[in-house]
Amino acid sequence: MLTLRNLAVNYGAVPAIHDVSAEFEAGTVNFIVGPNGAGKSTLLLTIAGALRPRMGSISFRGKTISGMNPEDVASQGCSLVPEGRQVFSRLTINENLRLGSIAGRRKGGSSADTEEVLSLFPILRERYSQAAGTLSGGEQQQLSIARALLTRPELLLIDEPSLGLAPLVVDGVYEILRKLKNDSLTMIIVEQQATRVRNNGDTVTVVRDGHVAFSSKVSTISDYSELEKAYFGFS
Amino acid sequence: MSYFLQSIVDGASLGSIYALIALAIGFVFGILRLINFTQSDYITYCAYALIIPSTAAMPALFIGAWPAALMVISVLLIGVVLALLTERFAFRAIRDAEPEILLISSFATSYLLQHILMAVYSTRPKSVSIGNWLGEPVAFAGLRVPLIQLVTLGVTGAALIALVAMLRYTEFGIKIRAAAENYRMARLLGVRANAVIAGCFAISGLIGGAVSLLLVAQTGSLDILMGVSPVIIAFFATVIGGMGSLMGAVLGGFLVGMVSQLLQAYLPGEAREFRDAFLFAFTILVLIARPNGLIASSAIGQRT
Ligand SMILES: Nc1ncnc2c1ncn2[C@@H]1O[C@H](COP(=O)(O)OP(=O)(O)OP(=O)(O)O)[C@@H](O)[C@H]1O
Ligand SMILES: [Mg+2]
Repeated sequence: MLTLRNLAVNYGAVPAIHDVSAEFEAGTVNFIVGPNGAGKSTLLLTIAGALRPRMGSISFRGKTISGMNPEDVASQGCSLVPEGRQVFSRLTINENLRLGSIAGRRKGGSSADTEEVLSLFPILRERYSQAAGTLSGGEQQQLSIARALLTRPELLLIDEPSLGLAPLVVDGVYEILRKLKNDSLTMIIVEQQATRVRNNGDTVTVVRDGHVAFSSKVSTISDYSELEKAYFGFS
Repeated sequence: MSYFLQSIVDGASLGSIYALIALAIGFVFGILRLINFTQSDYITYCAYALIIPSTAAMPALFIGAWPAALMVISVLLIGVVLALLTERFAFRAIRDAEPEILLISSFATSYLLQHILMAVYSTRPKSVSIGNWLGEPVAFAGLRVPLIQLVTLGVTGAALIALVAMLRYTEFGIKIRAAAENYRMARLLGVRANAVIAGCFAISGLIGGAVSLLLVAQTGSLDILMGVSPVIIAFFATVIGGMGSLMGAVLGGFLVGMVSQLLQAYLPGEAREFRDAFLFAFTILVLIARPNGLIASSAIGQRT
């Protein structure tokens, strides 16, 4: 569904990722893990069109999307839930969600979608017309995911859904992600720790210092020490 | 007392014009972090479109001679087209550049447009008589107020309400507010940057056209720099109101207009010509007291 070929991205003259190639299958949940500054967020932003790759290409459902604007990548059915949630704090929850549906409608979505998504996130319905800035961290994470779902994505990119959340709240978020997996949504989830991989993921990729240090199907990993070595950079 | 009330009406009318311009500047700044000095050219060009190109001091009317409704629509349209042209050819290519670059480009474009106008019309101020009947005083709340003041208040008031309603209730308004708060996130959700930005420029041009008509009707004259001073003062208004807050821009506009008229009315005669100096001093004082403006915006400067 998504193929990255020899991707390289710079910030100015400073390389952030280099020579990243990977393949993600439809209907799978794929984890990308790695330490701070490894280039995980950069990778997701590049896939979503917010950063231009310096080299390499990205193809999504057989179509080259590298070089497209973020709004066009979104229209292709690839939606990013960015690091730090980034809800529009001065807009109401309703307005935040409407922004997602605007894109969703272009792909034949309807108002029924909003109802369906809200049934996953009851808390959002309760606080429909409040400013999104008044939500707690966990609630904002839910809003951010709900908003992305309303764009009717085929592929959902989620950057650190557990960032800054209490463990119990993180469980809640993963509960929702599991439901989405059952609806066979393809996901790429970035996490710093590999702790959630075993129970939730189909594949895991370790990114370190801007390149892929390890990549495997979760089912074929018998011993996690190899993954840990790649993560911490031991050889 | 009636002198005071008179000044208040004058101040509100002037302030409403500043508020409208401040809103136009705020729309574009909110999304692009661009201080759009070409806003002054939208005003000037729309005004000069009223006459046949000439260097004469008493030029013949061109669009200004058309039936009122047609004239108004044409002038507004010219404002919109000019604004869209500046967006397309001056700003789109450098949209993602640093704010300093945008600022310089905005200055340069405005200068270029000014000089083109100078080449065609010369720098000599011109008098035009359009809507003279608007200068007639009418009785209003016990005062005798020139009709144009009331028309100005009516037009700007209606425009402000329409714009605020648009921002609050329409899909386009939600997109504008979202892009102003977090441009990149809005685009990631599929909001088309070109459409939203062009829309904001179109509104700026529309406002430029309306302001232009009101100014010409008030002063009966054309001047190459006629757009510059109101835009600079409106820019102060947006700073006072808080950069990035549209309600702040409106509030700042009214405040500046009011202060400016009261200074005009109550400064001793010989100090009056320094009214604008007092106005700038007032701006500085407000900023010392409230560095982020009256309505502080959390997202100043950085474009996320
Ligand atoms: N806007 C930016 N400008 C310049 N350099 C940046 C920018 N964003 C990230 N970088 C750099 O690029 C590298 C990769 O950053 P990135 O945010 O992708 O890491 P990450 O894996 O997401 O880290 P974390 O786990 O902390 O979120 C880092 O060295 C970082 O300092
Ligand atoms: Mg990150």
